[in-house]
Formats: sequence, C-alpha cells, structure tokens
Amino acid sequence: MIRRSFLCIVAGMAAGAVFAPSLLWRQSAAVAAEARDDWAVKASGGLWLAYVITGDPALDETSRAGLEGLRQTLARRTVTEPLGVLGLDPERDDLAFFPLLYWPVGPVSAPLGPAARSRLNTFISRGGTIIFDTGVATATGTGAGTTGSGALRSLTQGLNIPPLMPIPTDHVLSKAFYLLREFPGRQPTSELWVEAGDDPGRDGVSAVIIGDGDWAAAWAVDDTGTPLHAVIPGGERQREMAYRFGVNLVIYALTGNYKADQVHVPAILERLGQ
Amino acid sequence: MTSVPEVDSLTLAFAPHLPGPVAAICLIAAGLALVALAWATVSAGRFQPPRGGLWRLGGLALFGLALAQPSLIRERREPVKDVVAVVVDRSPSQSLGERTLRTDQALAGLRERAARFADLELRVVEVGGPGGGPQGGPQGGSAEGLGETRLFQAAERALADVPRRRVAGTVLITDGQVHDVPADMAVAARLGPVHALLTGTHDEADRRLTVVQAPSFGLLGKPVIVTVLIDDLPVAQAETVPLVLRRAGQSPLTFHVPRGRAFRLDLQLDHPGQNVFELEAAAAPRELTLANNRAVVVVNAVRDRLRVLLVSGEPHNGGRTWRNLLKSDPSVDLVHFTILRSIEKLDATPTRELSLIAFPIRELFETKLGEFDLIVFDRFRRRAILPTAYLNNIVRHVQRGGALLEVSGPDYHEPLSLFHSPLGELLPAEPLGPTFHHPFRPQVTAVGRRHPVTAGLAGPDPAHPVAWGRWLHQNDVGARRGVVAMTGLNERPLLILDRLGKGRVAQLTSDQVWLWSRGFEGGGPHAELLRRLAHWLLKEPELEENDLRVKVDGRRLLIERRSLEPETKPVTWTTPAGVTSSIMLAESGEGSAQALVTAAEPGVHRFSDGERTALAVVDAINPPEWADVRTTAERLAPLVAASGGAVVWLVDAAAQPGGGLDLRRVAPGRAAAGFGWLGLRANGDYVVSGQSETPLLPPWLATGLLLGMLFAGWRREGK
Repeated sequence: MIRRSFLCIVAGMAAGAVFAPSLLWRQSAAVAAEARDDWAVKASGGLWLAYVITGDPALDETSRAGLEGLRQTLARRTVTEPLGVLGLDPERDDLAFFPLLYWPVGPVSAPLGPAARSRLNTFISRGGTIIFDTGVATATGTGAGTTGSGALRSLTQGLNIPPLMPIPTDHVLSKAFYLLREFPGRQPTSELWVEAGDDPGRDGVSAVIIGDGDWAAAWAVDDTGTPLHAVIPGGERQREMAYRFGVNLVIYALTGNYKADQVHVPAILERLGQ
Repeated sequence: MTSVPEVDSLTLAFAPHLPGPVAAICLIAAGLALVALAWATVSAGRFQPPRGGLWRLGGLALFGLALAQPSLIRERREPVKDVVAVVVDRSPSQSLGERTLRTDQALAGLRERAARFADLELRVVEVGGPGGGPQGGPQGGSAEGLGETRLFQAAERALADVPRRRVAGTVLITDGQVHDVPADMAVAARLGPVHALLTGTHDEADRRLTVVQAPSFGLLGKPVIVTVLIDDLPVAQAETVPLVLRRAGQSPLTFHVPRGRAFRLDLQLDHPGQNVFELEAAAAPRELTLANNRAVVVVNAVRDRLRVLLVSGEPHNGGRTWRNLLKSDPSVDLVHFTILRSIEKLDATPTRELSLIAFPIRELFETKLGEFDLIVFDRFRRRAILPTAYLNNIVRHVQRGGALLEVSGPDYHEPLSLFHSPLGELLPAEPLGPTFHHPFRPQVTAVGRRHPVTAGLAGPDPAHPVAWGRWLHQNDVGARRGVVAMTGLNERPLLILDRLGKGRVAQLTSDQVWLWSRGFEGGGPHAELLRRLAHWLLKEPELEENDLRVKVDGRRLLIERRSLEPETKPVTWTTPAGVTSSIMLAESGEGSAQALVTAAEPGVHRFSDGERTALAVVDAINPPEWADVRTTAERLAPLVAASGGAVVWLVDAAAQPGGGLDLRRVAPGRAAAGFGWLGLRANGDYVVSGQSETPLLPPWLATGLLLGMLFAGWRREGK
C-alpha cells in the first residue's frame, strides 16, 4: 500500500517535471497579454501626455515633470483634462493611443531599432504628431544648429519625415487656443519647423514639429506645483508663453484645423437658407 | 423546285485557234485581197474572175471558218424564285381598334395569293411584337429602338441575302406610323416595288399629351419646370383638358390645361434620387388610345450641398476622425462646434491674447438649424453652454425629417449625459450601467449583415468574420428601439440605426472608432463604415435598408428588394398596358433579393410587393410609337411612289367587289400597281444546271471540204 502511494507520488512528480515549464510559460504569456490589454485599456481611456524615454534619467525626469506641469495647466484653463503623463519606449509600446509624442533629443542618441522605426512610421502615417525638442542638445553645445543637429539626424534615420518649413505666421498652431507670435521654452526658440504642404488626411496637423525651446524644462513643476527650472533670459512672461505654446500644441493635435476653419462659419451660415 | 418548268437555250459560240490580233490581221488581209479583186474587176470593166478563183476563195473562207471553230452550245436552265418581303407591323399602335384583325386578314390573303405563283417566295417578318424587338428577336432589341416602328430595317434585313435581280417587291402591313422611312430613294430600288397596306380607318381622332421640356436632374427641395402640351388630332375636341398629376405617396393634383398651348408645371423634388411624376390628360370623346394621354417625367434629385453640424463636447483623441470623414467629402459643408474652454476654468489671459472667434450659437441652433441635413454629437455632455431650448429645437428638427448621430462618451450613464436631456427621447440606447473598460471585437449582427450600412463589411462568411482591431471601452446600454447593426462587449448594442417619423437617428455607443483610424491592431473599416453611416443618415437612396427598386438598363429591368428580414413575397409587375404578372425574387445574400426581367413595352412599369412600390420608366418620355397613332399614308407615300408601288387602305380594298387584293407578276420596268391589284416584279432569273456543246465544223470535215475545194479549183483552172 505504502509502496503503491509512493509510486504514485513519483509518477506525479515526473509528470509535473515534464509539464510544468510549458504550463508556466503559457500562464506567463497569458499574464503578459492581460497586462498588455490592461495597459491598452488604460492608455485609450482618455488623453495621456506622452514622451519618449531617452534612457538619460535626468532628461526623462524633466520630460515627465514638464508634461505634468503642462497637464495641470491644460486642466486648469481648458476643458481638456489629460489623465496623466506616460513615458513610452517605441521599441516596446503601442503608440496608437497617443495623438502627440514629446521627444527630447539629448546630446547623444542611439539609432532606432527596426521595431521602433516601424512603430514610429505607422504613428506618423496614421495621424500622430512627434515634436522633437533639440533644446537640450543646443544648450549643451553638442548640436550644430537647430534641425541640423547631428543627434537628431542620427535619431530620425529611417523615419518618414515629410518636408518641413519654418512655421508661417498664420499657422493654426499659433491660434489653436492662444494667439502666439513666438514659441519660447526654457530658452527662446530660434526656429520652429512644421510640415510643408497640407496632407488632406491629417486635417492640417503636422506629422513632425521640430524646435529648440527646451519646453519641458520651462513647463516642469515639482509636487507642489513650483517651477523646477529658471527660464532664460527669464521672466514669468516667458514661462507663461511657454505654457501657452504647450496648450496650443495639445489642442492643435486634438482639433486640427478647427480654429482655422472657424473663420469660414459665418460664410457658410450666410449661404444657408438662401 | 421540280414543279418549275425547265427552259433550254441554244447559243452559237466560237473558240478561235488563233489569238485575237493574229486573227484580226488575217481578216484584214483577206478583206484587202477581196478589195483588190473587186478593183481589178471594176478596172477591167467586166467581171472576169480567174479560173478556179471562186473555188480558191471558198477554200480560203472555209479555212478561216475552221480556225474560228464554231460550235453550238445548248444550256439547261432552271428558273429561280423571286422573293417578296412582307413586313408585318406588330407595334403596340397596331393593336388599336380593328387593326390587328385587318392585319391578319391581309397577311392571310397575301399568303394565299402568293402560293399561286410557283416562282415566288414569300418572306414574312413581324416587327415590334410582344417580347420581340424591331427584328422580332431579342438580339435586335437596341434600347433606342424600343418605342419606334422600324419596318424598313426589317425589310432590308429580310432581303439582305437576295440578289437584286431576284427581288419581287416589298409589302408593308402597317398603320403608316413608321419611324425609319429612308430619305434616300435608292432604297426603293433595293426593295423592289414597295406596297403599303394601311390597317386603320380614314376618320381616326386622338388626344395626346406631350412632354415638351423636362430636366433629368434637379436640386432637392427646389422646383423643376416641366412643360407639357395637350393637343387633339386632327381637330379640337375641347378647349381645356383636365390633367392629373400623380406621384408616389401624395394625393393626385388636377390642373386645367388649355389645349394646344404649352403649359408649365412647377414640380417639387422632395426626396433624393428618382422622383417619378405621372401625368394623365382626361380622355377625349373620340380616342384611339389612352396610352398617349399619359406621360411620365423622371427627375433625379441631387442635393446642392450637404450641411453637417458637428458638435463636439471636448477635444479628444477621436475628434479628428470625424473631422477627417466629413471634410474629405467635397459636397459637405461642415460647421464644427466644439467647446475648448468653459466658464468654470480659470484663465487670466487678456482677451486679446486668446484666439477667440465669436461662434454664432443662436444662429446655428435656432434660426439656421433647419438647414442642416445631419447633426453629429460627438462625446457631448450637457453643459450650460447649450440651453435646453436649443436641444428642443434639435428634437423638433429631427422629428420633421432631420438626422442625428450620437457618439457616446464614457459618461453616457451619468446625469450630465445627453440621454437625460430633451434629446434623450430621440436616442434609442438606454444606459444600463457604468461603461465597460475591457477589450472587445466589434461584431456585425445577423440583421447588420442585411443592412446596407454594415452589409459586406465583415466579409462574406458569417462564421469567420474579418478580424478587426479591438476596441477597449463601451457603454453598457440596451436598445429600446431601432436596428442593432453591430454589437460589442457582452452582446451590447454598439451601432443602433433608428427611424423617427421622417427623421433618422444613429447611435454609436463607444467613442473608440478612432482606434481603427489610428491603426491599433491593424485597425478596421472605419472609413467605409462611417461614410455609409453618414450617407444613410443623409437618406442616400442607395443605402435604403427596406426598399424595392428597379434599375433600368435599356429594356432589362433589375428588380431588387432590400429588406432586413428575408422575404418571399412575390412582386407584381404591371406593364403600361395593364398586364400583370408575378415575379419571384432570388435571395442573393446581404439583405438583397433580385430578379431580372425584360420589358417589351415602353412606358411606366410598376412593381409592387404589396408593401413597397417601385416604378421603372422604359424608353423616352414621349415614345414615338404613341406620339401619333392615327393611320396615315403620308410618311410612306413618297417612297412608295418612287418605287412604283401603291398605298392601299385595307378598308377601301375590302369595300370593293371581290373584297381583296389580287397579286400580279409584272415585267421589270412595267407599272407595278393598279386598281385592285399589287404588282410584283417577275425577273425571270435562272441558274444553269447543264450545258452541251456540238462542234459545227469538226477538223475531219473541215480538212475534207478544204481538200475538195482546192482540188475543184485546180480542176477548174486546168480546164
């Protein structure tokens, strides 16, 4: 009797040794899929302000704190109330849920892997907008000019970046919420580049925006809401303008040409009922 | 063939051994010799031929004759039958009064008389009969030919394989309303003597309604001008004529139209697509037919511009999907209204630094609201900014025939939801609880597969639908009305399509369609789905889900019934002449059942399955066939005269003693008509079936004679 039960135990252990790893693996795959679904449900539940994780801890922390400052400003002043701030890794994360990606370009940037390149190209072609901020690179003197920054160039290798032009004075980004003549961040922006030409499927929203304002640093706040970085040359007016640019940027990414079209409404109404 | 007598003929033929020029030189030489001989005779003063000279001359002549090789050719000839084409007009106007009877009698008479001539072949062609085209066969049925009587085309075709020297003539049995009388009289030569036998009577009178001018397209909601003319042929029977105007779904209107003068009607186009107006002039005391008292005007109504009002509750991830959809359609005038800031928000920015464009809210939601064809509420929550009075305006507008699309945000079950506003009474989705936050794959329901908005989107196989990207949030709702075309999580309605009186309401109970446009998990058919949804709401006729329609392609009519439930009801087909038949439709999947029929008659064909009615208008609005149905000799007379034939009224012929027409064969070039008879050319053509040749001067005979003559000449000389 004892012998028989012992045999049973041995057999059971052997079976367990054979089947457990595959069972575990399957379980962990299911857990991973569920986690991915949970993340997707969370990310698609509303607007998240998203930045690209560069791997430079200081830079990433500035991005997070900057977007948090912008989130609070949006919630305070507009009906757009972002759910929060998310750092994304294009090598790993689905980008479909985000209309706008804030991407600080550090002094050194590793080139993108194929998965990230493909995700980013899909993101661009399906209506998303990336804002490259070369402010940090410019400030540290590693970049040679704004858009010609070597770091930016190596970063964007293989991305389908449309032709760009300096922002025209009547661009909808300059009137999406506030009226803006310049787009400063922690430092004045020397030039802001937007997509040249108008892709009809994008409602006038530029796929790529490039500037060197170091905006996240100007927006960044600590837990008490106090700004973390001084703006150069300085003054609360410049910080206010940086926030206004941030608000315009988000509203622009969400509403496209809305403000530009609004000037036509009286003409359309005029035609109605005639 | 065997009864035809054979005829022989004899011919003298020559087959000279010498080639032509050599023979000619020989002949000239012989002629010169004779002349020299004659000259010698004359100069000598007396005729003194050389001895034996005549014999030698005779021998020479014989030699020449032998070289020419005369023979006698005997031909065996068989005469060939001449052909007469008898073209019988079976067009609808030929069915009036006694015309059919007279036509049949005349045809029988012709057959009987023609049978008496062994060398005459009768080819009878019937034109424009039921089920047949101008050539009596379906292959001849060109679309423009329907409604016209084309007898000459048929006659030429009937005689196409007959050489002209065998054509005996052409007989037309018709009412004279022939629409292809050739202007070129050379045709008369090809058809032989053309005789026209007219089937009507001399004193016919008729009233007709003509559409003088009618546009084929017009703007929806705007009147189109249609001009009609009513006249009495040949003389007036009334001064004003009541004209009844009928259209689907409306009570008939009567106008009093002065006879003989163009009359203008202003017709309102009240739905997109085909608007069919039926006009009918009252019958006159004397009428040949009522078919030409009726006319149909079909005007396609198109929209000038589609006006869409998009009301977004807040800027959100999916907002641009709706803007892209509506802005990509060049015929849409989009007015987008969204709320960017609300009064509870704090913003110390001076007004001049804000991008503010005054939005004409009162104009939009009160004075001009009725002009919008579609109003879209995208994630809208009740905020103070839209007063209740404006929402009430929208409710009234939709109930009167407007369209509303509601795309619910995640707070549909909350107190600020539109469901709890005056607009709630329009909305078919009823909140059951908080929003689900869980992935799900949108599914097209069984009824959705039959609805034009969603039919075919999920692929042909219901068991294995196309795998679309998942959506991640959905409101927990139940449908209290309408058609649930798509479902989401837990079989909850995802897309509901509803009708309210003349208005339409659709509800999408999730705001996640943007996940498809952003390509999450490969995306889905958002562009097609939203386009169809918008166009269904805008009452695009192509997207009607419960409809009987007929597509007219020439004479082929494709009957299609779209229904959400499979139906087996037959469709009753009523032709313009009032003949009804029952048609079964074959289910072709995806909500459509079809049948193809061929119309034999121009005019309005009516299809009905008891519940739905569709009209198909075949051929021109004024078919030439019915324009004038009085029997006339005028159209045919010039050609008949040119061909040497005769125009005969059958009523006159029947009144004569003997009662009928005789047929006679006449020689080519002789008069082909006379009192009481029709002449058909007797060409006397034949084929040669055999030939025999008898040489008249065989070589042995010629040699013998020649030698004999030379010998006689030598003997004579020697004496």
